[in-house]
Amino acid sequence: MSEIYTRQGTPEERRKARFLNKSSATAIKYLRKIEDLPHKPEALKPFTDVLKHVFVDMQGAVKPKGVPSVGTYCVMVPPELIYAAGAMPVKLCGGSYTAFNVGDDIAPRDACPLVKAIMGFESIGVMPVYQECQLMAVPITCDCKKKLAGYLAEHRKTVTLHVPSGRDRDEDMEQYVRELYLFSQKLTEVTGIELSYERLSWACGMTAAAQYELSRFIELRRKYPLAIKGTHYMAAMNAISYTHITLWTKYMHDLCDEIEQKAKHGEMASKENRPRILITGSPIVFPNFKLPLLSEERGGALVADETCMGERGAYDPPAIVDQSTDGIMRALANKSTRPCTCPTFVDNKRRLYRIMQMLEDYKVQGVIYHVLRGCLVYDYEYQVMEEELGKLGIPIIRVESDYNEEDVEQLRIRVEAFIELIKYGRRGDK
Amino acid sequence: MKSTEHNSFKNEAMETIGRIETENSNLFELKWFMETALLRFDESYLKKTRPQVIILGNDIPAELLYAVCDHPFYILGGSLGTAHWADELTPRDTDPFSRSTLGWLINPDFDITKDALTVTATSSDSRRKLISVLQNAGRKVAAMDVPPMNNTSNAIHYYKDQMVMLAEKIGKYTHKHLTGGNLRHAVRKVARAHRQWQRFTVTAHTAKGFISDEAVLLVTQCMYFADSLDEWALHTVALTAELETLNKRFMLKQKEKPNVLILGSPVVFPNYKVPQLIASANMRIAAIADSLSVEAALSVKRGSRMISADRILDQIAQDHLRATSSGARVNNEGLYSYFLHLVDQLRPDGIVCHILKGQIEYDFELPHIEKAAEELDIPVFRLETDYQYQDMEQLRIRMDAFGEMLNQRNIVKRKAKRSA
Repeated sequence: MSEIYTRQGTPEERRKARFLNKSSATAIKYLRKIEDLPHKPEALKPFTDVLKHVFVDMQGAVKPKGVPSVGTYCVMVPPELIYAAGAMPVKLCGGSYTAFNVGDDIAPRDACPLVKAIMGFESIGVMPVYQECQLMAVPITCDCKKKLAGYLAEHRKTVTLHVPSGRDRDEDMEQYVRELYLFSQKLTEVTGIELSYERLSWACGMTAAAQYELSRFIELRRKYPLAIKGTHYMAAMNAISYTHITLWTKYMHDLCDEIEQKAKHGEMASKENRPRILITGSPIVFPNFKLPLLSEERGGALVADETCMGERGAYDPPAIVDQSTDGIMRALANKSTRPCTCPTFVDNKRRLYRIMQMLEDYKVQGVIYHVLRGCLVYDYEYQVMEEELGKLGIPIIRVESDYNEEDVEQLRIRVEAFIELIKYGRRGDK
Repeated sequence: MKSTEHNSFKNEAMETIGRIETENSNLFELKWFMETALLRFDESYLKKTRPQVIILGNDIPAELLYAVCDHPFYILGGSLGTAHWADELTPRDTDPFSRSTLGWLINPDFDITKDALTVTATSSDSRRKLISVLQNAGRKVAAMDVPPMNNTSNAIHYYKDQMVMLAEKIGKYTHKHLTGGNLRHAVRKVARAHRQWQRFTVTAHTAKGFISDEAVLLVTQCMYFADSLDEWALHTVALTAELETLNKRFMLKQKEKPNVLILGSPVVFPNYKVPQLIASANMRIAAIADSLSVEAALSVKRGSRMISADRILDQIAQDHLRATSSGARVNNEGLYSYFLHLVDQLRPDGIVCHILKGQIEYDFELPHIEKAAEELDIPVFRLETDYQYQDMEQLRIRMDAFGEMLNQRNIVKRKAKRSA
């Protein structure tokens, strides 16, 4: 009897074990929900396997043996630079509810849940995908990331990249180029591989192949009715964070082939009359998939994703006009900042233009504006978005959420009402 | 409805001034400062005034501003009335400083931005988005970017580049360009003002019985409210002299009160809730370590003033990145080292960490302060509030408890000293 009550290990070890159990239980739950959604393509399995590998089996990133990992916290860190240095970028923005709870004790109350989750992961120190990173790269895009960089630097080798608040002046771009050069020096310290034109163009070639497959995927996503569920699309895009680019490209190639075949045979992922929804705002990071799942479970068709976990990071290829190391570095600095629709920039009209373009391309009928609690920069842009979409007669809903499941039922009611509103609005139009 | 709003806007300032006037009726020289601060809340003055350059916050080096502009019009937030005006323009979680600042510039009652160039530093999320809101509302804005790191050569180079770019923009507007002569003159002017600031705060600290904490705050902040920096310096000299005379002539026996250090978000006129609470809890303010006072503790060294304009700019960039207190930095080393300096100099009994709701940077910095304070055995009290007055009573209870705790600690310390 006494054996039953004997606790194993130290309190810290038990805490870590509890964390792993809870964390993997949440990941399993959301993976199951993703897989249970109808019309799941067979070729989605490698992507969900990656998420399972990282969040359920608690393994590191999926990559060739011996390749060091570099943790990144934003799409503004060009992956080409890291691949050229012989390492692999791992996007570590956290979506874990369990890590959020740990981070809640460290970070200030009003910090955004994404940053709390990162701090939670860092403090608990049990996730191989975080632990194996030999260098952390934090572009300063908001106040929380700024302070996060300070926190990480106390525990890890960290590089801070200053993202200029403007991006139209050449001087601003020069600044980011200088930051990238400094970053590449730190990468060389980690991997021992010097920055060179050959390595950079090889890395650009790899990402270009991935972008080609992504552009095929985006084209397929524009089909009417929907060729792949939005939640499935988001799972595939989330998997890029933890997969080596060559593997991800292969998985994406297979997925596009399958969807193309299905579309040829008229096997679509949703009915024609489903309200077509675009999701924008704060990033949706696995396992925090409650919003896309709710939208699709309640009868919406999630056709487009404008968040930085979506296509934003991989959409724009570097425009290399000068065939030299410096030319590529400039092209990378350009592609990381100039087309980026992150609200960190003072003038962010291009986000509005991009969304307008997406409304047209994806025939969007309603927009869900996701605001993570404390993510002020996105909240500021809501008002403009609301006004502009109002002019077009496209309904928009602001959904503020945190990293817990307590608000799921309230969100369900709001999302359901929003989808009904789109449906009735459409009937009214007829 | 509109006139009620305007009344509450002015009433807040009147109330604070009224309190300061009652508590400091013996100080003749204080009158000028009270009038200067109150003028900012005068409807007819605000309708009439046409500042050429409006500065939001104090994160831009004053030397640079005075080199290209004779009368910068500073806006430091502080007003609940203006914060209300900006309610519809900002998200719910925006910090009161940003709200209030925006309310000063866009409101239904007066428009001070008509002929003005609004200048600011993009030091936080709110500030970045504020610029965007102002530009969308048709206001002319010039901004300078602030690098988040303070110790890299790239950061210093970039900061200097940003300063020059901003000076050129302002210069085009004011027709006063960034020349060596103008910069040197501005450096002298600012250094003189900062010297008077320091002299005044030291004198006020020794003459505590003759001037209230709120009055000290008002005098120092009037440096930003006054039309002329030189005029402010002259009046500060006069007030300092008056305090010195009083201190020499009269011996004021005072009850021993715990001294506290205020840290964090700036306490800006007319919202003097925090000093009011400290006074009502029977404590005294030893010093304030916020971005305003850290800035005033800085000035370009005398020997460096005769070097070339380029090297002066280098010096300003280095000093500002290294020593000023700013949440815009990954590590706010300026605030931290100033805090340690004050603790060493003044030996406060407690620390009040003032955090305005939404100014998350200070909250992130709190653990460092708490750790340092723990090593020095100084209790820290985190006071989170906004510009509303509804929480006064709750805060008063907490502050009273903190004051009592500090009193008890002092009694125990004194007893231990005596028995030793």
